Amino acid sequence: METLEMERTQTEIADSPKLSITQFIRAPRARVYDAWTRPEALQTWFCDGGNICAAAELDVREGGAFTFLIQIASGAKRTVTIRGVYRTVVPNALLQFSWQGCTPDETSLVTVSLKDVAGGTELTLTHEQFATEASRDGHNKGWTAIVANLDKFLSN
Amino acid sequence: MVESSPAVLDSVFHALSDATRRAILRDLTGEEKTVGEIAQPYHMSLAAVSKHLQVLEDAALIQRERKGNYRLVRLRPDTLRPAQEWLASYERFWKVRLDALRNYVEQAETQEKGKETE
Repeated sequence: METLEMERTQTEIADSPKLSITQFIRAPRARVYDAWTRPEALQTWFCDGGNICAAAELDVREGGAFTFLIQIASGAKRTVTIRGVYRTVVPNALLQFSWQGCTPDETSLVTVSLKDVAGGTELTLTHEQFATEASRDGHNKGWTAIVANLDKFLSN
Repeated sequence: MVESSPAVLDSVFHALSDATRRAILRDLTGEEKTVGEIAQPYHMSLAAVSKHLQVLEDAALIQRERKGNYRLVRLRPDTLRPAQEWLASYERFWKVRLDALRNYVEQAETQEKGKETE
């Protein structure tokens, strides 16, 4: 009975709100992996539209933490902090990390996997298991702030 | 344009945060069912199933209606749209960044190759 319940949970996580994006990059896997794991590299591409990555600290090992500080350039100057913990680290192949976005009580899971394809690398990014502390506890709050913050973050 | 009020998203994501409730929603795709039929695949009491149905009904993901002697449960798929739109906004967030990643990595790769051939 307990095993049944566990199996069901694992297979059905895939049915929870989830997004998946595939990107082809004309470069070897090692270079793409480097862009995700070396702070100076990550800072260069992760911020766009004039936003500034004020800092990126990446402790790339299973159980290690990361933090990005992003300064929103336009409008009222604000800093958004994104943090998380690396869950799976397979050099040049797979990075899986928890993602605490615009508000601290939001947690989700990001998986970046790299595959050799003709002429370069195929990157697949999956973002899933969106939940808030509030929704896990059965309280009906939490998303209000997240949606408002994400909107601001994205429109900047 | 669907109005995606935060309160609606709150209740939808809360309702979707449970594997059994997601399974119930999937079971209801394309057909109405009685509570008994919904409960059948799960090893749980009718009362436990009713609790899940209540959460889904509060989130407007299902509606119950009486047909003759039966009370049928039906999916309300439109309610999922705000959640999908919210996901879509995160999708845009990542697409912009992955484009930037590709440009960054491909530029670095070209420079490296340029050095090698010098």
